[in-house]
Formats: sequence, structure tokens, C-alpha cells
Amino acid sequence: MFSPDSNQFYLDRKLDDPASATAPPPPFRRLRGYAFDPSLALRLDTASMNQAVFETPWERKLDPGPVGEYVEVLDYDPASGCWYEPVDLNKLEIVAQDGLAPSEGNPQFHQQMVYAATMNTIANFEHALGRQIFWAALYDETQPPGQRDVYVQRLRIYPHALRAANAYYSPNKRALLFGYFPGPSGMVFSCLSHDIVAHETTHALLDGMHRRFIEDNHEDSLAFHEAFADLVALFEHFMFPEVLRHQIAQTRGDLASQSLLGELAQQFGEATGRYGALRSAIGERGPDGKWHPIEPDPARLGNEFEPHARGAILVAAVFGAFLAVNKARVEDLIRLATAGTGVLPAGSIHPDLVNRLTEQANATAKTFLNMCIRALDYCPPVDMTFGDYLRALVTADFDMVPNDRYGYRVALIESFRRWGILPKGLRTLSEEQLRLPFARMEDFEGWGALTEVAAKLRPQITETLYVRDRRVLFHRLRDARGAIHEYLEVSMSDLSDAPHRPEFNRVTGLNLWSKSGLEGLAVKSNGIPYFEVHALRPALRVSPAGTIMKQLIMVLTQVRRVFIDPENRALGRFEFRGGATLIFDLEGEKPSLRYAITRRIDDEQRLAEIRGYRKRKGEERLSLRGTYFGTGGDGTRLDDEPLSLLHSEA
Amino acid sequence: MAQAPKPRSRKKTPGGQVLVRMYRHGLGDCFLLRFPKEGGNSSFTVLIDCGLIGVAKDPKPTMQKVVASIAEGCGSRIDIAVMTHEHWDHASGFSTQQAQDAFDNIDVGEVWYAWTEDPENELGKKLRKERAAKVKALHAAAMALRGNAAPLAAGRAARVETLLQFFGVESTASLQGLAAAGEAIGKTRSAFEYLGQRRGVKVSYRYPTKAALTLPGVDGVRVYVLGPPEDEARIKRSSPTKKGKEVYEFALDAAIDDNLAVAFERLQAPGEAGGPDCPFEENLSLFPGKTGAKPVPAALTRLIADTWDEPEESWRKIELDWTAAAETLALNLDSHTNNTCLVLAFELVKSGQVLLFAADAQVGNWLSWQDTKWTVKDGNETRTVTGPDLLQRVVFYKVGHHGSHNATLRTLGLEQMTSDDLIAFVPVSKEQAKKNRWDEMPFEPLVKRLREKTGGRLVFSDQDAPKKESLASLTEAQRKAFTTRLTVTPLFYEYSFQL
Repeated sequence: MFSPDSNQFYLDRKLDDPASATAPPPPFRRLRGYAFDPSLALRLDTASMNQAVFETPWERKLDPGPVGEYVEVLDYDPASGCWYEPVDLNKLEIVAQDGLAPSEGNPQFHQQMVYAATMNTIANFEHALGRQIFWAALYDETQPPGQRDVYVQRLRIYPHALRAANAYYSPNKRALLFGYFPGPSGMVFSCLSHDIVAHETTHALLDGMHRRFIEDNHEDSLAFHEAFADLVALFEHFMFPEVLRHQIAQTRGDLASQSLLGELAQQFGEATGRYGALRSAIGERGPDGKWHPIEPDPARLGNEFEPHARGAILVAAVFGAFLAVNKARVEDLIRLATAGTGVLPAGSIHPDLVNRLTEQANATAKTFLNMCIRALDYCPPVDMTFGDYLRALVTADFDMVPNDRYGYRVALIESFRRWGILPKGLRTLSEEQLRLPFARMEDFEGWGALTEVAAKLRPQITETLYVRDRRVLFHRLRDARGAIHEYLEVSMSDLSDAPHRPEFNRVTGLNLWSKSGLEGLAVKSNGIPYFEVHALRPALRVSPAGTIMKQLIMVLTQVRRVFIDPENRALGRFEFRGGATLIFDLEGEKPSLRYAITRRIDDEQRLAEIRGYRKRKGEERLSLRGTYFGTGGDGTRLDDEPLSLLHSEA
Repeated sequence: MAQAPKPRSRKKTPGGQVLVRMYRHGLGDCFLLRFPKEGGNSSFTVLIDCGLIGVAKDPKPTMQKVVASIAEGCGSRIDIAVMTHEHWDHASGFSTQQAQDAFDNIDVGEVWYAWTEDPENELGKKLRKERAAKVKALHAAAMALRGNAAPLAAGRAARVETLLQFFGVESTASLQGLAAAGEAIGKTRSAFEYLGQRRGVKVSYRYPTKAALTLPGVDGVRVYVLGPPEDEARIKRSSPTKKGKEVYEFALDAAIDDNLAVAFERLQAPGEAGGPDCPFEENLSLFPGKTGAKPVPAALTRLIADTWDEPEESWRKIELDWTAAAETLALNLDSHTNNTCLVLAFELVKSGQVLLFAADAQVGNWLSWQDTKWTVKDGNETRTVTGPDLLQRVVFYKVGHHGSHNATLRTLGLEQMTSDDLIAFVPVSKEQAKKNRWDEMPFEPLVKRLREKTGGRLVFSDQDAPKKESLASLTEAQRKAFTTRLTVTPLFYEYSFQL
């Protein structure tokens, strides 16, 4: 990585033992790996830069596997019926030489590679979010209410789980499964592709934050999952100095031309018979076999429905904005290097210029990666669209950097507009319009359950900012969620049809009235409909200007079990969800509700749209798999791995 | 082409009518076509497929009855037999288990196969080799999964087996049944090859790129071979939603399938571990808990105790997750085979009407018709005939693959069939499809659209003929024509077209 100071990480300060008197603990564990994948190591022009050193956070307690705080690598190969010896990264010989040397034939290197790439992505998330990450909790119905979310400490990683040209995150097992298959020149291992590992890890991280995003309620749902995972993998390319320098020299600083930087999964793509990478953010090979840059095309959004293809539109929009910003930011360098003409002479560019361009591209990419991740806190709890994501991006960045000096937000808005991605119901696409409006308080004659509960919990929440142990933190936050639930239930119970109710309903999207009459809304024995404090996330953010923001993100949700088609009940029911992501500013005399990103549970229009989508999907897009194997779930169906099907070819 | 046979038919084709007969024996295709010969005292007979799906009850007597009816209908002489593709529900009638003996007594002039069966064709060879590798891997998978106690395995085995039925596996609820499946798979192949190997039957391999064909002795009928496409990418394409650039060919399809087959064999007979199919050198494999295996490092023992063997964490095991590959494999096998279907369009030259027999062609096959082109001569006039042009003139459509979703393309298929006289026949048995849990066969939205396009002239082999009410949108003349031209018997539907 570039500058050590930027890679602040929570783990490296989490020390059980006092620092040794003679030397502080190492900031990083240096591990060798592939910047892309093994195929590039075999090509003369790329061999030199393909070997990267990952600077992963130093985990003091790292057992053979590796098994650390966040992940556990289990190298069981069920198709071959055997295990492989786990690597011990704390072995002196291994620590002393930046880990094992890259080797396709050594399973221990494979373990090291998945560990390094996963931890790298986790570190990027923690850095951007300003807090420790959690994997999706396990839901255990046998536990008493309030304790049903069971802590899952580690993501499990199986580097050789499948014999297939496939790799996926299993939301049910909280595990990454990587496949291998015979390719044209030997075995191809998906766990050795940095892109694929980063992509799958991102699925897991996103699922940990937004458990409902894998529910397929409209065209954008699964496409967003894919696009986001691709974006993280893409921007991570820019974090390897050797790669970046090499590619910038090769493209003479023009990042918009074909380069490895904008492409994903080279070896995988080639071995499965594509002529190049699995996906590309900036260009594609046409029927003539030649590479063409992608031109923004608003029509594509209306035509692409397969999640990867549709996700590629979002990827292209964000990546396009990145290219535009970076280009603007290096214009001065180019002018300086060309005596003001801005026209580079033929031939290679000067190594000093390469270095400066590299630094800039790295910084811009880092900013974009942080923006993309941070925006996740500003997303609605359910049914996210690409347009919602644009609003989240713009708002999150505004909170962080109020003046958009380098035009990041402008570039994003322009690029999204060129791709035709518009949030619903917006008349113009100005930044002010796009930014989420400040929530009007639900203050009604002095009554405001939400701010009250935030105020009441502030000491408890503030306390969690100092908790280092993820398990303790998880349980504290779970207790706080229970307390919020109880408070809201009590404060709404004695209001019958009081005038506060519509206001509460408008802000939270929930309906807590027993007499609501909403189809499929279950009511508890105490007369209040069921609802859920889905998540609680305190965040401490430091802006580039040095201001510190203490925020609390509270996610409330509710569910209605409704028929897909009331006219044709044979199609079955689905879970229609509503609720809100509430963002509180913890500063000030009283915490204040800043944003309420709401999806109302009583939004019959949204319900009708989802119904239409689910029905259509059943009809028009039924796959061959659906014809033979049905679409229901009996616990053994493939549907149980929603992301697996997306990643396999059938 | 065989010499025009002597008139032996007891039944001659009534004055200038082309008769198209669909048998109503169950889930499977069997079509008998009769064309009037010049001179008008005998008919030229074409048989397209003869098969029944494995779950059907009493297959042998059923097919014996069908073949007896064929023999009667064709006067024991089939001029051309068309074997569209190697699936049991299209070829079982030719098997020794069902009605081969009855066919032995029918004179067959010529048999047509798709070019993919041509022993001289390189791509055909490759595809057949891959198909064999897939069938082998699937068989191993079904065996292994059946022998596994986990509920996930049983469900998966059941799903794989339903698709193996297309290769003649009849009853596979037990391991013994499956053991016989290897034989059964061979059974489909031999039924499919029976005519090709029969003495005295001429064998032709049909290519969409070759000239349009005529039927000897029949005036005014031309046969176009629409598919299969001579294009690997298209043959391997099954889903209508995928875009071209995403559909790619596995250069190493067979290698991947073989690799998987070994793994399934190992699953079935544990103990066989480590081998050339494994990703690493043999000495790197470890077998914790296995007696007689080499010692396991302490670190691995501890890791397994803390994670894999930890009872609280058992929900995260992945023992059988990889076997999902079997389902993907089964689907690929099915769609690749269906895309190798021989698709024929019979043009009645005088009226310009076209009878389309799509067999079980899927998306890749359908799409390729858009690019087909022939130059034909009518008298002194030379004209160009294209795939879309033929589709536009279709008046009879044999609905693909028993009415399932993937076998009738919409925009570049059904919607191009714009003739007001379109009628469609669907050889299907909902009951037998349901037995296999193929609840979407026939596919309801497709049925709805077909009903609209045909104005209700949609005939299902397992249902009664359309009633008057369902023909309400037709003109009186159309309705009358339809009802008089359609012959209904318990064993078949037959429709007559004016040549």
C-alpha cells in the first residue's frame, strides 16, 4: 500500500499485551500475492508487476489456517476428499520473507493469498466506515426475543470448495466458496484471483451491513450487489503501486484506454473461453474482436436485466466519474511536463511523470473507494435502486466534504446522468436536489419518540465507540437495539390513533397501529404490529478538514407477508418490507435526526411494482433451471445460494 | 434418395391433401406426415421421431399401439424417417424395449440425422464426445448422490435423474435402478442409431447451409433444414436472457466434465482419494480421521476440532455444496442436445404455406434461423428464401419441447409467425410432466400467447380438441375449415392441408 498512515485499522490498536519495551508491534503483515492472477505472472510484459506485497493489518493472534479475528481459512477440498495443511503465517521463515512465494502448486500459498486479499478488502471497509465491520448475524429462533441475532465472528473461507468455474459467497453459511477447474494451461484457481476474492469478500461485507439487499425485488437489487462488488475490486487495482506505475507507463497516463486496471478476472475469463477479462469497466471487445471503449448509453438501462450486465452499467457510471476526476486532476502535471501544450510527445513518458501520475491516480481511486463504501450507510434498508445509490453517494460525500473542490460529486452526477440513472421522482439533477433532504423532525407538540430514544441511548452508544472487542461490541449494540424496540413499542402503544402517529409513520415508514388493516402485517399479542430494530451502527468519522462527526445509524424495518398475485394465489407469498434508515447526529444538546431514508410499509405503489416484477420474473425470465427444477425452496434447492447462480454459467 | 416405392398403401392421400398426424401417446414426439404423390394414387410418408418419456406407464404396449397405427397409416412404408435428436422421448419407439420389432416390419427408405451426427464432421465429433463425457459424469453423479444419506443429496439426485430420463433412464428411485442407468443411456443411443444401422436404409446428414430438398415423386413440396446451426456458441446457448457476448464456449468442456466425473465416482466409493484429477500433488493431500493414512499435522487437527468439527458450527460445512455442479451439468447436457435438433420446414410451394417442425430446439438453434438463406427455382423464376421469410409463412407449428419456456423464441420466433392461418400442435402430457415436477410444462404464458396467435387453434395431445367457444375470435369460415380439417381419434390428431 502507499502511505502507511492512511491504512488505519482497528486491529492494530487492539493489543491484549502491552507493547514491548523495545519495539512497537509491526504495523503490517507483509504477504506476497498476485496483484491480478497467475496468468499474468506467465506473461513477460506483466510478470514483473503481477507479484504484489499485500500489507495486511498485523493480527497478533493469528492461528494456522490462517484463523484470525475476522476470517478463518479452511482448506478442505470435498471433491478430492482431502484436506491440505494449514499455513502458519507466524512462522519465522514466513514472516521474515513476506510470506510464501506465489505458487500455483502450493495450497499453503493459496491460503495465504485468500487471507491477504480478504483482509485487504476488510481493511478498506473499516477505514472508510470508521468502525469495525460485522458479518451477517445468525438468526436463531430458539433464543428469546432480543437475543435471536447470534454473533458470527469470522467469515469462513474455503479456497478449494468447488470443482467448477465458479466462486460465490454463501449467505447461509457466511462463507466464501472458491472453485477450481482444468483450464487450457493447467488448473485455474479462482482463489488466486485477487479480483474474484475481493469481489466475493465484498458480497459478504455488504450482506453483513444490508441483509435485505439480496432479496430480489426489482431489476436493480442483485445487480447492485454485483456492481458494488466489482467496484471495490476495480478500485483496489489502484492500491498496488507496482501495478499502477507499470500500467500508467504503458498507457502513457491515459487510464481510459485499455489496461489491466479497468478489467476484472483475466485468467478466469480467458480459461472460460472469453477472449479477455471476465468483465471490463471501460471497454469491451466487439464482434470484430477489437477493443472499444464503452460509450455511455442511457438505453442500456432499459435493456439489461441480467444482474451482471445490469450491474456493469452502474460500474461504468462510477468508473467513468473516477476517470473524469482523475483526468482533471492530472491536467496540470501534463501541462508542466509538456511546456504548457498538454500534448505528450511520442514514446514513453518520463519516469518522474509516471510517478506523479501514479500518486494522483492512487489518491483519486482511494477517495472513490471510500465514497462508494461510505455511501452504504446512507442507503434505504430495503429495495435499493441505482438512483438511491447515487443519492447516498452524494449525501455521504457532502457530509464528509461540504465543498466539492475537485468536483467528485459533479463528476458522479454527470456520469450517472449520461448513463440515464436517475432517482425516481426527481425533476432535476442538481446536487442540492440529489442530496437527501434534512429530515423534518417528527416533533409534534413536543413529542418525538425517535430523538428521545436517541438521547436516552446516547451515553450507551457513545460508550461503544471505545469498545475494541467485536464480540462485546456486538452484544452491546444488540442490547441497545432491544432497548430501542421496547421504548418505541411503549411510546407508540398508548397513542391509539393520536395525531403523532402519521408523523411517526411518515418518518420511519413503520406502521405500529394494531388497527392499520394492512394486508399481511402481523400483530403481536400486546396489540402492536411486529417490527424490528434491524441494525444500529455508531460511526465516528474524521473528515479531511479535521472535523469529527459522531453519527448513529438506526435501521427500523417491518414486514408484511403478502401474495405475489392476489388474483392467483398459487404463486405464493413473499415478504414485503418497509422501514427506514435513520441517521442521527449525536452532537449537540440533544441528538438530532439528520436524514430519514424511508421505504414506507404502506406504500401500495411500491408493493404493486414488486408484485409486478416478481410475477414477470416468474413468467418471462424463467430459466431452463426453473423449467426442470422449479423455483420454490425446500431447503435443498440451489435457490439457497442466490449468488452462486449468478456466478455460474448456466 | 430411395426409389419411389410401389403403391402399397391401402389408404391413399385424399386428393391433393397433406396430412399431419400427431400421436397422443404421452410426453414425447411422434409425427406422421403424408404427402400426395404425383398421379394421386399413393402417398409419400415422413415419420418425425417416435418416443415417450420414461415416467410414462406401460411404455411398451403404448408404443406398440402407436407403431401399429403408423404401419397402417403409411402402408408399411416410411419413405423418410427423421431422427431429430438423441433423446428418449423422441427415439424410444425404436428401442428393443419398446417397438423395434414392429419397425422391423416397416420398410424404411431413408433416415435423416442432423449434421452433428455426421461421422465426418469435426465439430460434430467434438460435440458427441462432450455429450458422452457429460452423460458419464452425470451418471456418476446420480449414483453418488443416491448413495449418500444427506437429504440435500437425495433432492439433488432426484433432479438430476429427471433429466437423465431424456437418455432413457426409466426408474431410478433406487441405487440398483441407477446402476442399470448406464445401460439405459446406451439404450437411447442404440434406439437413436437403429435406423441408421439398419440394412438397406440410406443415411443422410442434413445441413442448414445446403440446398433446399424435395421429396421424390411429390410435386410442390420443398424441405428446408433450418437447424442445428453449424456454430458451437449457438449450440451451447440455452437461455433467452443471456446476451451473445456472455455466451461462450468452454474450450475444455469435456476435460471439465471428466474431472467432475472422477470426483463423483470418488464420492460414491470413498476410500479412493487423491489422483491425477486432484489439483495438487498427491503427497500434499491429507486425510484426517482415516485409518492407515499418513499422520496429520497437529495444526490441522486443531483447526478441524475448532471449526469443522465444532457442533455449534456444523451449519457451515460444505460437504456437498460442490455437487451442485451436477445440476448445471445436467442442464447443459439437456440444452446442448436440444440445440442439436434437426429442424425442418416443409414449404407447400403453391400456397406458400410452411409446416414447421422445431423438435426441441432451444434459443441458439432458433436464433440461427434468422441467418439462413436458400436460392430456389420455381419454374423459370429464381427466388431467395430466408429463415424469417419461412417463419412468416408458418401455418403449422409443432411446438418445441412440449411447450416449455426455452424452446419457443418470442421476438425472433413466434412473433414472426404472422399468418392468419396459424395452427399449433403441442405433444405433451401434463400428467407425466407433473410426475417429474416439471410444473411449467407446458409453460402457461407461452400457451396463452400461442392461443392468441392461433385464434384458439391450439391442439394439445393430452387434451380434447378445442371447443367452439375457444375458437370465438375466428371467422366462421376459418372455424369451419379448422373443424373439418382436424381429425380426432383417441390415438392421434390429424390435420389436412391443401397442397
